[in-house]
Amino acid sequence: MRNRSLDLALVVLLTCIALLLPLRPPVSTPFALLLVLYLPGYALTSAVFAYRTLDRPERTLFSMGLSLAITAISGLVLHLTGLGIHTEYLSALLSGIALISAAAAWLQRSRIIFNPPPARARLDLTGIFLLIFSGFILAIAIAIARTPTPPGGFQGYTLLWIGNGEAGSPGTYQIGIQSQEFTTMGFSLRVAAGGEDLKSISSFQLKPGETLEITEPLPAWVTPQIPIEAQLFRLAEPAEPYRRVVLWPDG
Amino acid sequence: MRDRTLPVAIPAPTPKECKGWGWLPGLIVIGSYGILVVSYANYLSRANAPLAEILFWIGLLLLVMPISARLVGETPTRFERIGLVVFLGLALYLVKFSHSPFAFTFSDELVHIYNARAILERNALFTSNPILAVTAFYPGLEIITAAVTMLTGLPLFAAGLIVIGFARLVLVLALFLLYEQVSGSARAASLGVLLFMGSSNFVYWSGQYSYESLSFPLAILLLHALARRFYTPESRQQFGLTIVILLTLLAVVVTHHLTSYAVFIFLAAVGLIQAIFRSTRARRIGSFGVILIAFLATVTWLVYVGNQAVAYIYPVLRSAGRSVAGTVAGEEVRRALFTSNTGAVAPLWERLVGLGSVVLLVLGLPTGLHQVWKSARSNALAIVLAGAALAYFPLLMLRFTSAGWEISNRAANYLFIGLALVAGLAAGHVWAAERIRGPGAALFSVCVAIIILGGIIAGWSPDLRLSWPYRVGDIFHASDPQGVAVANWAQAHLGLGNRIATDETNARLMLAYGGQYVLTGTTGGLRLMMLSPYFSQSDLQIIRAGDIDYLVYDKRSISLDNMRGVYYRRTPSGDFGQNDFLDEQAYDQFDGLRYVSRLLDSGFVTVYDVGVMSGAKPIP
Repeated sequence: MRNRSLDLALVVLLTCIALLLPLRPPVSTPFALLLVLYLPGYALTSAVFAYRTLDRPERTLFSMGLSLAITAISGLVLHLTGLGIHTEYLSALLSGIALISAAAAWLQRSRIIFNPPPARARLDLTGIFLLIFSGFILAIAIAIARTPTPPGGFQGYTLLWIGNGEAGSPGTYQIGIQSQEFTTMGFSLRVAAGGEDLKSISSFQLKPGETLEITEPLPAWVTPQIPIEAQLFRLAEPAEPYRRVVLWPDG
Repeated sequence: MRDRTLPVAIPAPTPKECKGWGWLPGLIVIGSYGILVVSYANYLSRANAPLAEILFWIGLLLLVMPISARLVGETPTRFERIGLVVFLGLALYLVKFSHSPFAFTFSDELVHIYNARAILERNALFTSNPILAVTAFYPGLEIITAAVTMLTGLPLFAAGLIVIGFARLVLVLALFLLYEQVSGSARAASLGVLLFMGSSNFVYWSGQYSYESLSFPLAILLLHALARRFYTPESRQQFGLTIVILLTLLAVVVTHHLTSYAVFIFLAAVGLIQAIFRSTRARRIGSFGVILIAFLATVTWLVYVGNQAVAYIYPVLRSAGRSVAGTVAGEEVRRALFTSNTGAVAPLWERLVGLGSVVLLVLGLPTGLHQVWKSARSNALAIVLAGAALAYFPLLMLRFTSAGWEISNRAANYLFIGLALVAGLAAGHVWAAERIRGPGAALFSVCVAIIILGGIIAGWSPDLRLSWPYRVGDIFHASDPQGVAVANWAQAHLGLGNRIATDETNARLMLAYGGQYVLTGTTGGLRLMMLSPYFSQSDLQIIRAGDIDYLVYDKRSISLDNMRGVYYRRTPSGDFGQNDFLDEQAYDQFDGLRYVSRLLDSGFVTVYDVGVMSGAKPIP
């Protein structure tokens, strides 16, 4: 009696952990994954099939497949009922299905005489070592796959943008520069309108990934009919604009 | 009346058959080395280093051949066979992962990830998808992905990888159990699943983040449950299997249009054969009940989503029909096989392997069909699967037509279910126990290698098979391509849902990462406008008609190719040629126009604010 409901107790425990405990990722991730991808299907499979009438591969298949189906249909139901697909509704629905199904499975199991469990494949120490070793090789394979390509032979780039000041600061304009170059690079910036300089930075450096954002006041004589032009130069090639943007300011 | 549809009974596995890992751990180690080599090959490919391609194929051979040689033997237990095919299926998914390990980069993936993102942002379904409208109305995959992201906090990319990987696991396991149910043999089932991996769509197409990658495994699960239900006398089992059938059927219907139609056609074919063979009344009702539910669910969903699927599928069928007619009449040039849409021709050895895989499958057909006839001709499911195997080869002819190619490619996925079973039965017979030692097993593994490698060759363009550079830099800082950075900028600085006109590549990036409503392609004269050398009054009309807020220009001509344009360009020197760029006048045509701000410049990509032109903003 004890043994044949151990799996259901585990379903209830894992569901409760996923639903109730205030865990944060990455600790909560495996529990939440189980809640979406395995537990509802496992519990439902246990409820609708007589105890131990499915072999392990088939039970696993139905658990996974039904969980996918249940999650997809649950999302649809939440949308169609107008509740919306929110985290709390979704987790409550999936947990509810898992817990109710587990309860139904427990009830039906308590009424039957159960057979001895089927034989299990046992793995010897060499096998365990080989599986751990293959996991190690696969981890290296994934690490290699996720290694960025060395920058030799590629062009890095820099973003230059311009915009009107935010809603809270009328009469201003903003300029942004983000370096996605592969080395630290020196720049200069010139902003002009109607032939007159508004802002000039003769030299500054940006590291790879670094962003510089400037908000400047707009002189009163710069009307919406006068465009503001910003030019970014590389210190290594000061004669040729590297990037150029133009803003027609708001009125 | 004698029920002639009952299959051969599956003998219950003996304890010896059930247990025993056999060579599974050792073969997993060898296969893992294969994945390691493939992963390294992809790394070298991104760096434009030599030997990448040869290492890729060596890695695949290392993965496939030892497992094939083992599976053809009589000694592996059922457990070991399942373990081996599941490992191989997942390992081939890792081949796709090592191709795109940083982000979804296939054109369909970017379309679907937008739908998932829309669910997260709006907590609702059916947000309009401007690139492929039909995808928004089949949201099964995106619901599950969004659920994973919501409940785990994982990013969408990781959630999508997990869901598709999980679906791959379901596919392989369901296929094994289906084949075992039909053939009555774990050996034939494992050989069938092994050969199914030679389908041209298995490695890349079915590994991508797209609705069919989920619906297809669910459909196979449904067929397995159906097969089990037909032949299970116990009512409690039948009830459980009915629940499985109905839930997976509903999930398939809301996940992918073509799969739901394929399931209905399959069920209808099984029902028809049962009717012809005059099976018992109880079984007929069971069968027709499921067919009726499948039909009603599919049609109801089709009507509910407003015929979006018809609008998507009909033009493809119409062009294919015209293309076939044109090719037969000699009015259309026959499509060249083994040639990508960029004109890249596969090398000779690839063409030989590709054709060799088809020849091997054709050779296996008579023997496999004979095996079906001998042992399972009273099994309606087996007959339908054999019919699918027979239909596969005529369908290949469509690959010679320019517009029919897609239909052949997509339908092949479904027909290959039957072909792989028949080929597996043939292989099981030809490599019978007394012939499988030594050279026999080696010969079989060579044949399987040809079939699986041939499938990869036929299924994916030669220049896209290996990874292209996406994330470039070092461990301290790496950059993604300009289009991705600009899309992220658009979301941060322009807000969500602006109407942005751009090329095919940046449209997908703006959709997936920028959350924008994009307009792209030739519709409404967009491409003509963007490629014209100067700005004209008709361009103004196009901007107004499209209610366009922003234009995003990419100087690179490759940006018009939605499969290749997303990546960094690989060149030994990093320099570009004249042909790499669009006409300079075209992408500068909006410079200097009154009230058109040039908001961003990243080198290749420029963003223009044309809100005043379209009327979205007032003239200051």
